[in-house]
Amino acid sequence: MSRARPAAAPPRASMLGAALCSARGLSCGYLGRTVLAGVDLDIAAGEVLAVIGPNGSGKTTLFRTLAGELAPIDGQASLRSPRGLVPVMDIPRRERAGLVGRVLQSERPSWPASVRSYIEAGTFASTGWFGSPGAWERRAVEEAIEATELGPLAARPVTELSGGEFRRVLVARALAQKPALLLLDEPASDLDIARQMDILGLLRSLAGSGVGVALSVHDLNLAALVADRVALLSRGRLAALGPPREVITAEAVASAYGASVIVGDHPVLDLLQVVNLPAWLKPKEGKCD
Amino acid sequence: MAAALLFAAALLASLCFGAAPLTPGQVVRALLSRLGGAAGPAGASGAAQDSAARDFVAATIVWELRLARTLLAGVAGAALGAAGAVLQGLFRNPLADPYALGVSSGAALGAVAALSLGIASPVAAVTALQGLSFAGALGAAALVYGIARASGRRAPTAALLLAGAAVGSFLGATVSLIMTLRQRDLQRVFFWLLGGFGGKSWGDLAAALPAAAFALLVSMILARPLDILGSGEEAASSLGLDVARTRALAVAASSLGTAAAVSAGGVIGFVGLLGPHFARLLVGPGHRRLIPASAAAGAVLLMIADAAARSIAAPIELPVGVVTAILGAPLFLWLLSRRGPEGQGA
Repeated sequence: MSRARPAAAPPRASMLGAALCSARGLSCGYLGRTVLAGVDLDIAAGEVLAVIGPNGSGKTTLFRTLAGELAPIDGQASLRSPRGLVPVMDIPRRERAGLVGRVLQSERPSWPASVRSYIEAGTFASTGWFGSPGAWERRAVEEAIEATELGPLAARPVTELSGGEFRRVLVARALAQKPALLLLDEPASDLDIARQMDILGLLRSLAGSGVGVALSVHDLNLAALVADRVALLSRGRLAALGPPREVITAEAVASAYGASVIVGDHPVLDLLQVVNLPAWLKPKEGKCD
Repeated sequence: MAAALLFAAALLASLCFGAAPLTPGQVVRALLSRLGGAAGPAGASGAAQDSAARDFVAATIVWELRLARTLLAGVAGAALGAAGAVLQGLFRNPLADPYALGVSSGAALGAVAALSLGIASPVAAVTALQGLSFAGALGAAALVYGIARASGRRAPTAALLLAGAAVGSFLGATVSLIMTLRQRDLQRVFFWLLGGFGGKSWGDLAAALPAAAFALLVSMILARPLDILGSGEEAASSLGLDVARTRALAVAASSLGTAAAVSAGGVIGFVGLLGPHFARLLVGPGHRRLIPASAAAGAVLLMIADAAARSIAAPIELPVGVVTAILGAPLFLWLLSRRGPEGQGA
């Protein structure tokens, strides 16, 4: 079920393929409103999992619950800690921040802090209220800046960055937490196609270094491009989970989104490709079956 | 270092101004005279005696009249500056300040309630004044925070300022109601509400200092959490911050600072807005430097405003709240105009 993806130079070889995060019979949602029910899902070290589904299908709610920001309504959400798989609500907040990093879609900076100091907030979990970043934290920040290629921008105020640059800062801050697992809400939305490829390439290379990556994404072609496995949320449950070609089918898309598409092959890469087929456009002569 | 020099310069300047202007030399001699031992009017004859007498008068003016009130203005300004920085960090909005959010009005309501109790014992009166001011400020800050949070998803700045204005005018009306019902305290309370440090003594300074210092200490503890909170509540929580505890401490610290200032000098607007604003220009947005810098800037601003209140229309003394509002309100509007409707930018 969970296909481990071997990495080129795995720094955490022992962790590769191990579940970093596990949901069993998980129901999640808000007070009096269950959004998702009966979810069974593992996220493995070194894999990229794309979570797809229509607006309101519960992608962000699932991430909030897996990260322990939202208590499960029923079932279990667990995180891999040094003590093994532990129910996420039993893990203290700061320890949790060292296990799972999140990138939110709608974050806006309040103050013109420098890129470096914004990323340094990722070390709060290890320093706490009174500590200031020491050698370990400073190295974590520098490594995060290097991995996201933000060096030239490190002294710039975050309020002056473009959307793509700021998204990279958010990924860098999550990396400075030194988490084994990254959960990203729509990291590719609002970006132009070149910036989208930048951020997805970054996520791919992070997975290559052994981090478990889960991202929600609207564009099914981007999901096919970056993901080892795809999770489809629809009608309040996990409708399908598996490799892109098994999950992203014309039937599944029609059922989940109510959209008519053709799923074919990418002309050059060994990837599937999703093409829209809206009812309000007429197919070319001889192309209608 | 620069802040200390600025503070000393403002203190010196503030001690020079007033109904009887003194030269900086006279002020320094006056300060040294009582620090370095007694120097009475007794001495040589003629010009020397005349000069010694003038120095004695200067020393009396400085030590008995001006130094305590100037330092009290500094303490109140520091408390307001730090409270403004904490509120701005909590609301993630550079327009937040104890006055605009109605926190000062809450403190004033508590203080007026305490004054109208007519407690005779000075210690009990000061305790009641500070305690009820703090309770009023705390209630107002918590209320504004609750309203702004519940309705502020779309236009945070507008929701915040409207909530502050609504709470502030409600509390102001309550103050007026109490004053109308208790006519005999009317004039005393009215002048106190306008804000001012006239006639304040070393005892008032001793009463204000502990609360203001404690508020500043708690504000300093909040420095890193407020930095983290700048990313927004959900992001801060995912970074490991206990947002609820940060919020509660920030409301408590800013309320205590505001209550200390209001108990000391009445309702003084805009110092909590301008202090952090100047501080941010000087030391940047990081709260570890911003909070002490805001306290220093608030102290300098209010000492200068107090000196201006004493000297502009001397021998009539203006309420210092009038001076800060005349200087501060245009700057507030300018800051507001630089921000978009979504509360972004600036």
